[in-house]
Amino acid sequence: MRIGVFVCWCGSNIAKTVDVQAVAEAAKDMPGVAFATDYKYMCSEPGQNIVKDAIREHKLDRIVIASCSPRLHEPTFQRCIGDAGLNPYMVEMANLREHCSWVHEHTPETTQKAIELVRMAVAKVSKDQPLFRKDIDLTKRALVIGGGIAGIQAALDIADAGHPVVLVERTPSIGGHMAQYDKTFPTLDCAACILTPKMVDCASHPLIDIWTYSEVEEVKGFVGNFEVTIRKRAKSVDETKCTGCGLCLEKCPMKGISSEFDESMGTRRAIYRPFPQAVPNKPAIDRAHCRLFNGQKCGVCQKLCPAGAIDYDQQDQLVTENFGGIVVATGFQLWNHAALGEYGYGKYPNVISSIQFERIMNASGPTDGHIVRPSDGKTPKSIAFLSCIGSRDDTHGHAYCSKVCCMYNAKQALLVKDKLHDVDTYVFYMDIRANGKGYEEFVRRTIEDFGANYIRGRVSRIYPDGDQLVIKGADTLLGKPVEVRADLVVLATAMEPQHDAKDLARKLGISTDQYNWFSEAHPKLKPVEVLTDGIYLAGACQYPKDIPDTVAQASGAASKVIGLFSKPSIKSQPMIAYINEDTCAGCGLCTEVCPFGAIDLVEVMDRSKSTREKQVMKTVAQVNEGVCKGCGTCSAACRSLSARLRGFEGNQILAEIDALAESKRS
Amino acid sequence: MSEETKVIDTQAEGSAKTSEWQPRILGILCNWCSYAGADLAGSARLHYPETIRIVRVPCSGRVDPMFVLKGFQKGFDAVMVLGCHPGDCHYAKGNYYARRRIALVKDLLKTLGISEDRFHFEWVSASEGNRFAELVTEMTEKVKKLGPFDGVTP
Amino acid sequence: MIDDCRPSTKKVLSMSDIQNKIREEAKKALESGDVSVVIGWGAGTVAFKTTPVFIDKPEDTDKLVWNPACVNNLAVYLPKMAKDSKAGIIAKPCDIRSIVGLIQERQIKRENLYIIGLGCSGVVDAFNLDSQDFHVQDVTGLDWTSDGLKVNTTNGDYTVSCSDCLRDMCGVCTNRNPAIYDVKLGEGTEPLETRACSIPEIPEERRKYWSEQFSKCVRCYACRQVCPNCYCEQCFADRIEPKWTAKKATAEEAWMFHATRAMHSAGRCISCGECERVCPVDIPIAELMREMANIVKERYDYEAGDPEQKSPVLGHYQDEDFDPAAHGG
Repeated sequence: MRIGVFVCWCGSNIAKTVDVQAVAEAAKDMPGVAFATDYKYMCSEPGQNIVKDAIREHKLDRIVIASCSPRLHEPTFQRCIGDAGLNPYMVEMANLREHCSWVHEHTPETTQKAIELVRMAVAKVSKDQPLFRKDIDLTKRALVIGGGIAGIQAALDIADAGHPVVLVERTPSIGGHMAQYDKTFPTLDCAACILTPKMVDCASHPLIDIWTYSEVEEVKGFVGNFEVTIRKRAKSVDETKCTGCGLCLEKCPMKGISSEFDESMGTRRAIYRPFPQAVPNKPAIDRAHCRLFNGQKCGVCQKLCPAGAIDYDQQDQLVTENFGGIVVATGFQLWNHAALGEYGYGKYPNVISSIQFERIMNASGPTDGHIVRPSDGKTPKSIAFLSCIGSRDDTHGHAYCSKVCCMYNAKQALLVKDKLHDVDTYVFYMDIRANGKGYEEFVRRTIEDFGANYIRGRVSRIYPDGDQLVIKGADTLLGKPVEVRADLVVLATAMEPQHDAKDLARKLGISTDQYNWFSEAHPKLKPVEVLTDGIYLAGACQYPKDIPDTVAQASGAASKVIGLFSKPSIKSQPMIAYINEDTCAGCGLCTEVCPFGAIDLVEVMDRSKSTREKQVMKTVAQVNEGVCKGCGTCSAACRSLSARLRGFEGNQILAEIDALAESKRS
Repeated sequence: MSEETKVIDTQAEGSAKTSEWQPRILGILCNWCSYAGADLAGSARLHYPETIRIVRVPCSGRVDPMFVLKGFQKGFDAVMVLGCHPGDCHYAKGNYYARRRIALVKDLLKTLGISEDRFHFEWVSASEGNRFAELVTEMTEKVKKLGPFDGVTP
Repeated sequence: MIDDCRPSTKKVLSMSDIQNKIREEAKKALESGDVSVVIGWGAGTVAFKTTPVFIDKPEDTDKLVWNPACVNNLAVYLPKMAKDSKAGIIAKPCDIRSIVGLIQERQIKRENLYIIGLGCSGVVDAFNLDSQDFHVQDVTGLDWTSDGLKVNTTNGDYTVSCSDCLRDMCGVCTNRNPAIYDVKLGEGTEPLETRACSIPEIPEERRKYWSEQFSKCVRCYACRQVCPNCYCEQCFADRIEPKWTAKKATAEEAWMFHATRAMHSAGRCISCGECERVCPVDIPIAELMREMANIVKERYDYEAGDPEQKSPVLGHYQDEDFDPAAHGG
């Protein structure tokens, strides 16, 4: 056994608090170590060359890299030693940076701890076994969850590369939040003008299947071979027959249902499509509101439908399909702060949210684009925009910045002035965050060319006075109280994860942060990946994003899927469980605890008891290597130590504990 | 290779500390949540006592009770097992099996007369770097009060 | 197969009546060719002891005995003896719980068993017996009566109260009737009052207590060999790699062995007490096991050897399980 130990300075990240040379010196005396050195950046090309050269020169067969977290650079060094001719799995990392130098001070104890971490890694690597990856077939078909701009972009990119895509959306139409918007900042492009062509492209793309009114129920399998069960909710409309003529939409007697798409500023009927440009442009019956489904006499739509497409007996369908990769693009929701009653939202009709204002401004919105007050339909003469409603506000659970509000406040203030001329606009803000291309210029234009009154400060109270609202706050720049009278108050409410984001995360087996935004694999270097291979993030389901960032990430996620699909097969994860059949007693505990059902009991020949004359059979556990994900729950359950986990074998962990214990004595 | 940050030189303070006995804590952390949380404590430059040594396992479900028993047998002053929050397991259910197993090992330790304060089991997510740093600090303080562990069979 | 009768103080048949019936049933089973062997207790070299016997001829069934000295848990022989052919076994309720465990853990198949299940009044501890007014070596016969243990000796008959002679686990045992059986003979009786645990209450003292106990361990592994649950082909303690516990007989290594064994037995041990009985240095191993069993029962409402259990206690979980992290970690 010839172990090489390579201690990284990580510039000064490690070297500033850990005496790296002392660590390398100490490593030389550790059992099995044939060579030890230190270098400024082990992960750099010259650093990796030091490792490769030393492997050749000193005939090293096992490597310890004492640098950063294995979660960051283990694959880097696996490749590195693989290039030098070793089995890539003969490397262990001592986490000197995240677990030592960054969290401790420059003391002898810190260096001592670093030495112990290296000793632990040396002990583990000395028990390493070569591991091999196997080729696994993959299904070159992608699932995109969420039909907003992120999902649409990802689906189009993947399909354009020649791979079939299923785009799942839970509302009756794709389009997402972007379809609700009027214009987009900073170019003031009409949102519909740039979005609807993409929606149509999706619908007409031969490789894209759009499943609306559908949701993911269950996800099984792993990268390359996900098995996803999707619930296609009953629309009560046979899509193969429906021509989208819209007759039913006009005749349905159940009027006056608050429209989700119009954010309650408009109404819809029980059979509806969210908006006229919906894709697919076919309606669905909202059974919760339909007269027929609530025991009343009706059936108007069925009588009228010229295509005979209305099917009241339609049932939810559960479809299980295979996918090689998944793009999660489920977006966000807006914080519903009505319950808090703060600023009179929900109490005073003229206090509305920004998305409601967006619908009012939209030419295809409930007011046909006429900017009016909800209370009396009069044109407002004075509008106040309040930013950071719930955002940057830990007391309401959103310590983060929602990122887009500063810009849409500016956009709305600009557009409203452009449309009405005779209007005063006020924007109450904490800070103006305008850090995108052309963003700062845009805000300046709103202020300078469109006369928006920007007031830095929080609003303390809003109360009605006559038919106006009085906004009391403080101008923190002037350091004095400020009072503004407005006809309409627009609240920029916080973006937050979808209410069921956590459920989806659990189904997918991905993690979320403290707010329930989906967690990326690495904040800097893997912003699109998650910790589960084959699943990628796009858009605001990860964190608040504007449209350009969302589209960029969607294309990034798509390119990851395309990259995955560009290979003829994928390599299996080698750190999986296996059974020592000779000692397995066949008790079956491992089969019960395996989270993936990857272990079966099988009959095999008992080698210790069989002779040439007589075959003795015994029941043992067997791991299905394609299904095992390597959690090791089986090996912790196994009393006879027959269920084992490659890469985290009992003797490796014991060696680590022993090595640390020895350090104590020495 | 992350950018460098300002490291306050506390050499003087550090050497003053050496006179005081510091416990040795064995940490067994799941790769996906708690180990990542410990990494995050690092990236966030949260300081905690240099008492813990972390063994990485893929899942808290991998934690054989023997790992914990061995830690005490080998004379660690405390042992800590950390995993993903229930429902957040990277392997869906590994931590639920771990929960029963670790609960029982904790009971066994109690039956064998090892102070409950020397063993800690908790859920720490990948975003809870703070919690991890806090835990190590709290645990260190708690064990300092108990003093050195004089073995499973004193 | 589940018998719902509660332990009863009724004593319809004497032990010797039952002994005759056991012999009859065993004979029938062997004669019909249904079983190739009947595992039971035979008379020991002394009257206060019995020994396991393996009867394979109908005419030998007279060697079978049933008396308060039938202590052995014969289930330990089943994984080997009932593997390929059907075996008969004479079993006390606790032995039957071991059998249930073995069936649940797939070590034996129910169809390979012919169970002659017995109602039980507990068995005696020969050491306890020795502290009475007579010498154990003079004992010629034992039987339960409604007053306690009737002891026939060469110097006359004595009656010893149950609490003075029962084995510890028999005193607290509530499983006095067989959970599964093919033939059931006799009725179980009510258990005695609960006995106090000898594990000290104070943690520091506990550690010292166990330290003293384990320092006696000579690593003979008798406890393991006699335990029906220890059917592993290779015990962790025999492994050279990884060597979780060294074979040397130090208190610390013995601690590792016994602590691990306690974990391995948690939710599986049916408290037959065999480990403790065979221990040459009197380590109260069963006490440790029973403590774990109590915790498992209290926390997960799980009892080893219950035929109703679908999955081992560590083989399943519930979302609302006790969460140590929510109780101070």
